[in-house]
Amino acid sequence: MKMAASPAGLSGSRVSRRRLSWQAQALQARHGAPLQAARQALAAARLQASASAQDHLAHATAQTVVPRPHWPVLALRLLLTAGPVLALLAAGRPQLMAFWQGLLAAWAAALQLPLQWQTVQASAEAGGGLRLIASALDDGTRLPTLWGLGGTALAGLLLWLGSARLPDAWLPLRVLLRALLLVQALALALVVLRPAEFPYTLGSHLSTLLNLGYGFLLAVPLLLALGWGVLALPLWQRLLVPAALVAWLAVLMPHKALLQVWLLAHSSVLFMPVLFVALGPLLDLMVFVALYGWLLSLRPAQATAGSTRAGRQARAQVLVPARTGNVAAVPVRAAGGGA
Amino acid sequence: MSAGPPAARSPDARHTAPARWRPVGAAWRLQRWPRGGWAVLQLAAVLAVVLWLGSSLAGRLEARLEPAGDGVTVAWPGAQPQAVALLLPDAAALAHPVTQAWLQVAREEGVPMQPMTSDDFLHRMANGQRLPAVVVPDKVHAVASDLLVGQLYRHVADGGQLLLAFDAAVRHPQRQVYTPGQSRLSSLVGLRYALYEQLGEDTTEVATVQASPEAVDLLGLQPGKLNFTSPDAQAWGELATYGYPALVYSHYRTAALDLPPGQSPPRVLMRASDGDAVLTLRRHGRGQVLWANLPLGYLKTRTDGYLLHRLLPFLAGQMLHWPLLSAAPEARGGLVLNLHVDSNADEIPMAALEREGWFETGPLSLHVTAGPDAIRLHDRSGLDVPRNPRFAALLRRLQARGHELGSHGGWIHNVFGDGVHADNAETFRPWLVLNHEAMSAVRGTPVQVYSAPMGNQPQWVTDWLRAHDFRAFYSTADNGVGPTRAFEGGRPAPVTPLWTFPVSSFGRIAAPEELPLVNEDEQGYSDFITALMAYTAEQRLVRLAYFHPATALTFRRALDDLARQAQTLAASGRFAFYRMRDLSDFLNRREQVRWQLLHLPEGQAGLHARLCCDGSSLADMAWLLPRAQASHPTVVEGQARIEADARHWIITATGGTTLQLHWRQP
Repeated sequence: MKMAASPAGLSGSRVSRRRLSWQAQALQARHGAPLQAARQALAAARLQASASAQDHLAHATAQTVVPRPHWPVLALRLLLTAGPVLALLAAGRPQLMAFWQGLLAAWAAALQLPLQWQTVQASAEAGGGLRLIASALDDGTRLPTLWGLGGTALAGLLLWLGSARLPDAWLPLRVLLRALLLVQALALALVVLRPAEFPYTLGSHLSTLLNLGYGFLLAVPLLLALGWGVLALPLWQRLLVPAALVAWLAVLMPHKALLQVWLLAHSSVLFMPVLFVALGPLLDLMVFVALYGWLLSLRPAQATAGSTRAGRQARAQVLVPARTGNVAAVPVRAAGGGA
Repeated sequence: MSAGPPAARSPDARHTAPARWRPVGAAWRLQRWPRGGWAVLQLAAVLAVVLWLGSSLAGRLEARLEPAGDGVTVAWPGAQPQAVALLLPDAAALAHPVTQAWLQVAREEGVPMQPMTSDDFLHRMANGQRLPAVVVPDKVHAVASDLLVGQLYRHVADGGQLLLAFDAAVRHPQRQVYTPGQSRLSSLVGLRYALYEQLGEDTTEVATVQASPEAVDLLGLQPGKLNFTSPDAQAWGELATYGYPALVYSHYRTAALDLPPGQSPPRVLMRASDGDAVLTLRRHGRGQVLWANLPLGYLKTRTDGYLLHRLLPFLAGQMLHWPLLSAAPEARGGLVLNLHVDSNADEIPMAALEREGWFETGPLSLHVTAGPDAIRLHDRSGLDVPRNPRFAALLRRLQARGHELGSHGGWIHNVFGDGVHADNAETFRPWLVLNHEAMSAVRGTPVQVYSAPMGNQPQWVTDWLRAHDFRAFYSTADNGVGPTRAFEGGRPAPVTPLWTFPVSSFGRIAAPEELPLVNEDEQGYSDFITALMAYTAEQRLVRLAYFHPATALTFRRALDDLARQAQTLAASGRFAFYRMRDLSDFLNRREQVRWQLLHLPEGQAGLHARLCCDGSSLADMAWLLPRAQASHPTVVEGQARIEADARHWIITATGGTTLQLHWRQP
């Protein structure tokens, strides 16, 4: 920053009160100037330093904080981002369930999975609404044999020990692997000791995944609205992006669940918990986070500005230099932060 | 390892590495050891866990639960169980009275049954060990996971037999509430039930129960147990019991289920008066499902075990074609004819019966109230046996003919019968003792059989009988059942030599003098008692009937019919009168028998029996093996006589302490 020189040659914006005092004493000692003159010079320097510091603060604020739009604007943005998709999901739940049923039935037939599905109206006690349930309990759910249990235990043991051989650079993988192995070990213990307590069959696992998935679909527009949705975006993006994201997830979810069921039908319920952790709602969330990050990276340059007059000024005068790095050319008071 | 040893690093790194990594001779090795040791410890810990889990699982597959306490099992553990598996949620459920009721009835009816936890069942299913039959009992196993329910479907589809009782597996484990919509087993049963979402508090209903003619035939329901209000042979009869105008049961409301094409609907064998199905049989896949919409085990604990006593033999004998250990000596059916001699009004008719030779019939069980009064104190209408040498002589003559003498309550019939209750033991115990002493004096040795005046028997009386070495007592509990160990206050009776002999009734009456209560005449009673005798002969069961000799002259024709029927049936070798004490001794000996079915290679099956404990001999023990599913059995070890009737091979042990038989299955 370019500063007017003080009588003592001090750079006001970086001079602390303590440093000024020390410099005044040093001037006096070096030049033998009268103390009164030194004090006057010091006062002038203080004044200059104070003004410069305020300017600096105002500039810094203008670079990072965009003035928030008024709440009606924010509310409108939230509504436009989340509202249409939420309404569509709520009103179109039967159609979505029917779509999933059809999809699952087709795949189940192709993959020879003995699954039958129905959508039921849940009781008020159970939270109400429609619920996709399995109607056939003899759905091919398999329990592990003695050999299966032993083999899984041995394989888990070897993987655990093998994970210790991974180099330090692969630490995240080792942590993830061991976490999954712990889940698998718990499942193994449950299946060996109390298999009758195992709460899911293939059908109920699938219906749980899909009903959880529906809940997640409802959360997606809200999450988008509360983050990406507050940005200043074109209306078509605000309407289409959440819908496209939900549609993509609505197709992904049944296939992902079906993949789990197919794997379990060809192995056993022993792997259901670990598959739930690895390919269940956690993965949905990670998919959403990835898509969200991708969306943010695609945001228009002006998307982070407000819609108020001050915001438009900031967009014109603050953000553009900030992107070019030409900080010195910024008329800092235009941001309205200095005084 | 996440980091290599210091030697692998740069020389500079040696100086910056933690001290424990410095390779200083032996010290370096010592400091490095814990890292290798940690891996070994991990390995050892995981191996220990795996071995423990493995041995636990292997143990579960090999061993089964044994009934707790001093209960007696019919079969003993083996590698391949050929027993009906009684499914329990866990080992703790073994002690539940309802569990004990199921196991006890199985023992009494000679059905091999093993308690098995659901965990064991699932492991067996996973390892391809198919069980022939599974019972999911009421009350004990109301909660079940989807996984278990799914495996029950598979068990039946693969050819297993399944008996579901009432609320078996209707609740979901996560919230222990009814599953949404309907029971998850509805598709297996072929009917919708446990419709809590739809019906709420009306999910269950209370009504009388009717049995179809097919049920009478299949289950072997005995004459007198059903009331037929219509003369139509195809009419359904209403279940009845002694002394109650109507016998009502709690059951689930049911509704039709839309079954997929090709699936058979259930055969309704019993129904409630409101139309709900109460007992159904349905084929599913290669197996069958028998669904009892009644709390069978609970009813047994509340002294109404008739249906449970009939359903288990049906499951084992007709659905599985297994041999049953008969509860009658040599599998010879028969009657305990129990005469209650209450007052001096009985003396003349008894003398007349003796004169006319009616007492050639028998042996009978004569229970006498011996005091001087009968209806009220000091009314002098009692037999006063100690001071009535004429009647005492009559009793001794009858005893000499082989009839059994017993005690009928406490000295003064009506006063004791009306007045005794749970809290006045101190008042009435002396009367019980007086009667016992008087009758023991006539008998010459202590009497060991008893009947309660008016059927009124508080628990303290049963305890007194047990303490005084009684072996049997008449009871109005468990109406229509053979000798049993009736539950006492909802708990299993202690295993002692004392047996309960429930009375078999003619609808809501039992003795001929009660005929006016049901607008029946003497012929009606005659038909009933002769049919009951024929039934015991055909089914090879023992039942108890009773009457008062005071009315003998009034119903003389019926008594003559009874005597003639006894002669006819006895001539065919399939009927006998039993004394209570003799039968009790036989049943106590029968409890020492351990037996199991053998699954042999090349289409063969077998049976292996042995005596445990201090049992003397297997003599008179008999098994009924359905002929339809077995060739002529061969005695491989021990001594046995093999006969045949229209339906069974009758294998009667003639001695020894072990018996092994083989036969070929078609």
